Amino acid sequence: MTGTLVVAGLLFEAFLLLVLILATMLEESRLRRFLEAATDPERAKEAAKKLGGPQRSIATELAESVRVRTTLDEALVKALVRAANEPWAPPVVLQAVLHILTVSVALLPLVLALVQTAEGVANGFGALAGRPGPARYLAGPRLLEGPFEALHAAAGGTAALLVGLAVVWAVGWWLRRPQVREARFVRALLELSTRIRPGTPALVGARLAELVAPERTLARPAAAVLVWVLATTVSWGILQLTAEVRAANHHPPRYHVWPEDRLNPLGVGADLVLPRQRGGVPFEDRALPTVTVGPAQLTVQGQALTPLGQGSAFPPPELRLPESFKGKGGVTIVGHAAVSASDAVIPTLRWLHARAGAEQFHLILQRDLGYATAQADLRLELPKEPPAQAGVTVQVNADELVVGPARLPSARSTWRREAAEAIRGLRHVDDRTRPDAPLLVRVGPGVSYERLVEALGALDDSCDTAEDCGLPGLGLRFVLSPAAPSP
Amino acid sequence: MQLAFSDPLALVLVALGLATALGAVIFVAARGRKLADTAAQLAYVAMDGRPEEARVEARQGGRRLAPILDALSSDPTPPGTRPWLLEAAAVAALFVPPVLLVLYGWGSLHTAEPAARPGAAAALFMGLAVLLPTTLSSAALVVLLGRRSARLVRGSCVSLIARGVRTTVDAETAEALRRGQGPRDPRGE
Repeated sequence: MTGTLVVAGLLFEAFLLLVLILATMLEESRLRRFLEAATDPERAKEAAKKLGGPQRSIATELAESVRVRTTLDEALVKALVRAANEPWAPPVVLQAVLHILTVSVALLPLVLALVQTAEGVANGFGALAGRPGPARYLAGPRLLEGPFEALHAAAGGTAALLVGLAVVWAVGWWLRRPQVREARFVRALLELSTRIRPGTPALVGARLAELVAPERTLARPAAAVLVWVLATTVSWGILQLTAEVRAANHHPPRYHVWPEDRLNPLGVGADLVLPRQRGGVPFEDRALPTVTVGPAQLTVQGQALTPLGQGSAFPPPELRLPESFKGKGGVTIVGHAAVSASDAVIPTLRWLHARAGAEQFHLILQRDLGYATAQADLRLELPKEPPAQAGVTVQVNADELVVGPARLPSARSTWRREAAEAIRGLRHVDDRTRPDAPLLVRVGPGVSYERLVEALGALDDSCDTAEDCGLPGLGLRFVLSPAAPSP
Repeated sequence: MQLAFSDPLALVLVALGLATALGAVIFVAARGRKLADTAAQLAYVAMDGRPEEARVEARQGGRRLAPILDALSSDPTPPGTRPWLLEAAAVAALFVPPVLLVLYGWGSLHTAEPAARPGAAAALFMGLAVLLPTTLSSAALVVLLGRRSARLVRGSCVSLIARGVRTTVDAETAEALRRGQGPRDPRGE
C-alpha cells in the first residue's frame, strides 16, 4: 500500500515537473515565433494575437501603438508597467488547490500510516486488556511491530516524496515564478522594439526595464540551502536526543516498565545474597510474613529460629513458629542463593505448609533491569490438594531441567531459550483462551536455591534477548509436587 | 479507535492547530488584500498628481508600505521587497500547535501511568495525522498568498517607478539641452 502510494506520488510529481518544463518551453517557443514573425508593426500585431494569456493583449497593444505612430518609448513603458501588474500565475484558487494537492500527495503515506498505527495501538491494547500483565508485555511489542514498521516505511516514503516536492517547487521557482515569466516577456518586448523600430531611442523604457529586471544573485537559493541544512541538522539532533528506538540505536530492547516504587521493597541483610536471575513479577507488598532462609539460619519475621545445616532433619521437628505468624495469605521467602533448595528451602516450605497452612510462597530474586536492579517475585504454590489440571511437569535437577518431554542439560548454552520455547509451546501462554494450568514442579536432590530459581526464572522469563530486557515474567503458576511418601 | 480520542488535552491541541491553520490563512489573505488595495490606491493618488499626499499616507502605513514609499522617492530605485515578517510569523505560528502536541505526547508517554500510555500514543499519532497535512498545506497557502500580495504591491511600485524614471529622464534631458549636449541620437553613431 505504502509502496503504491509513494510510486503514484512520485509519478504525480514527475508529471508536475514535466508540465512546468513543457509550459516553459512552450512559452519560449511562442515568444521566439512571435519575434521571428514580427518584422514590422503590422505583422507584429498579427503575430501577437497568437501569443497566450496576458502576453497577447500587451504585445498587441504595443504593436498597435507603434503602428499608429505613438512614441516607441511611451508604448514600451506602458507595456512594461502592464507586464509588471500582471500576476503571471494561474488564478489563486487553482494555485491553492494545487498546493494543497501536492502537499497531500506527499504526506498521504505518512498520514495513512499514522492513522493505522493509532488504530493498532488503541485496538491492540484494548484487546490485551483482558490478559494477565506479563502476557500483555509479551504480546505488546509483537502487536506494535507491524504498525511501527509500516510507519517507518511510510515516513521514508513521505521523505522521498517531500524531496520530490522540493525539486518541483525549486524548478517552478526557477522557471515559472512571476518575475521570471515577466522578465522573459519584457526581454521579448525589448527585442520586438528594436526589430520594428530599429535605432529608435527609448530612454525611459530601457531604464525602467533595467530597474524591474529580477535579481540574478544566488542569495535566495543559498539561503534556502542553509535553512534546509539547519533544519535537517536540528531534526536529526532532536531525534537523536529523544528517540529510544532500538532499530535506530542498535541497542537490545530495554523496557522501563518496572514500577518505580517497587524496585527494591524488601530490606535484605548484607550477608544474604539473593539469587540473580530473570523472570518474576514486581513484588506487591501486602504485609505478608517474611521467612528468611540463610545464609546461616532460618529467620521468621525477623526472629532467628534455628541454624541451618545443623542436624539431619531440617527444620527440626521440635521447631515452633511464632504464634503471631499467619501464613494462609501467603509467605515471602527470602532465600540465600547458596543454600540448598532440596535440603533447606523446600523442607521449610513444607514445614510452613504443615504448621501454618501456608499455600502460596513468593520467592524473591534479584533482577538486573539494565537501568536498575529490582526484586522480583516468583510464585510457588503448595496446595492442600494436588491440582487437577496440572498437565506439564517440570523436574529441576542440579545438571538438567526437564520440561514435559524435553530434557535440557544445563551445560548446553541454549538451555534457557529452549526452556522458554518449550514452556510457551506447551502452554500457549500467548493464548488467553487456554486455561491457566499450573506447572507441577519437582526438585531433585542436591539442587541449590540459586539453581531452583534459575530454572523457574528461565521458564517464567518473557525476554527473548541475551540480556534482561526489563519485562516482568509471564507470571506462571508453579505448584510444588507433593512430598514423596516416606519409606 | 475510541482510545485515540480519549485524551482531552490532545484534542484541544488538535482543535487549536486547525483553528490556527484556518486563522493564519484568512489573516494573511485579508492583510495581503488590504495591503495590495492600499498600494494600488496610493499609486493612483500619486499618479493623479498628489504624490505628497501619497507619500504621507505611505509613511503612516509603516514598514509594510515601505516599498511604495521608496517608489515615490525622486531617485528611481528597483522595486523594494515587501517585509516578509508577517508571513514568517504566520508560518511559525502554524507550527506551534503540532510542536506542542508532540511535546505533550512525548511527555505523556514518559510520565503517564502505563495503562494510559496507549491512549497517549494513539492520541499523538491521530493528532499528527490531522495536523501535519493541515499545517503544511496552510503554510504553503500563507506563502502563496504572501507572494501574491507582494506581486500586487510590486505592480503598484513599478507604476510609480515608471513615473519617476520619466521625470528623471526628462530632467536629465532638459539639463543636457541646457548645457547644449542634447541626447545623443544612436542612429548617428
